[in-house]
Amino acid sequence: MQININGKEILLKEGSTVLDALKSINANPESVIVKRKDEILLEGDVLNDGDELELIKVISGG
Amino acid sequence: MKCSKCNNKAIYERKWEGRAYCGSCLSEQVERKVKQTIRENNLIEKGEIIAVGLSGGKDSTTLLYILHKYFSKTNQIIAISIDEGIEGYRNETLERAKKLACVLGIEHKIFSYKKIFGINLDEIPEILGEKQKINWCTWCGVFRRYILNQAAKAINADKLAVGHNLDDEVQGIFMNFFKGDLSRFQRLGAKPGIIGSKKFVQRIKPFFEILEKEILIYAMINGIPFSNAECPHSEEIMRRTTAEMINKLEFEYPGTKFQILNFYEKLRPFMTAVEIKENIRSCENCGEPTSRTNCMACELFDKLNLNLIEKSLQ
Repeated sequence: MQININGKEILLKEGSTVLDALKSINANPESVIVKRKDEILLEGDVLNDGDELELIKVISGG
Repeated sequence: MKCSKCNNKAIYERKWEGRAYCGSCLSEQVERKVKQTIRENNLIEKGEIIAVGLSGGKDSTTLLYILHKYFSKTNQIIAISIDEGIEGYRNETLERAKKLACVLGIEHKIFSYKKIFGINLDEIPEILGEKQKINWCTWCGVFRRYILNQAAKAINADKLAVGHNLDDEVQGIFMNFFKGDLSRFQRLGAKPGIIGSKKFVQRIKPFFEILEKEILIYAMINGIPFSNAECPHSEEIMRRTTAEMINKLEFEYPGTKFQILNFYEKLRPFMTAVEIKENIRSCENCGEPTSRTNCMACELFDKLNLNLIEKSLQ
């Protein structure tokens, strides 16, 4: 299946989770919050084909 | 996964607790912990004037929001923002800071480098006339701390609350350890710096036991206006590397950050016992507290051929 993370298309196996998606782009779940539309997702939440995810960096500022 | 408290859909998992929370129950947990930290460390006494350092980022806006929610009836709360004059960054964060202060009805004072020192941070390399790169964080940090302390004194604040969170604290522990800086290592905690010095307005860190990620989620779900912008001059490579290292450990071994903080707190009595405190005296130039002959702000201003003594906020 194909999902979109911050505008980039990523190919994942059917039934992949948020954690699988983060691993595929070498992102540490501790360092980001994952949103699907207005919903904040957990690492174990299962993704669907066509999902558009927004990654928000936890560390910010100066 | 369901919320361990109310059975709604969970949005956050505390793996080290084996529990998950929905937005509402996580907010409750965060607020409860902040109040506990304040109570157990005597951070805020009834009737005190509390200055809150408000940058407009998630930590300081959330801090102002929670302090207003629980302390505005017993304490006067005043927000203080510093405008360093960083093009394309500070304007955005200040807009969020102004918006929140306005919504909450909190007095908000903004102090700018330009007004106080006559220069913006961005102008320093040009004034120095040096081609080599300057350490932005050193210049900015020294001047910001100087103004925050002066500003808090100018409004007669009893405490200066800052949004440092548990992640900042653990990074500070490691960074001072890596640098071998025992003096700064000793000065971390909920009431950092030199306790009891009349020259410093006591800084307090109500979030020092709250994870950065929980603060971000709290801010998002409570609709707090904040800026997630990154300072274009941010170059604290050691802090970033340390943060990444700690986050890797936290992912592999949930609860690591709390364990590090707990260990540090257990060390504290031993550190006090070995008397490594520096002698705090007055800067011979401006009178501000320092462990040197001249304070760091005066030393840096000397490089700019400007005299800090003429730049008081009073």
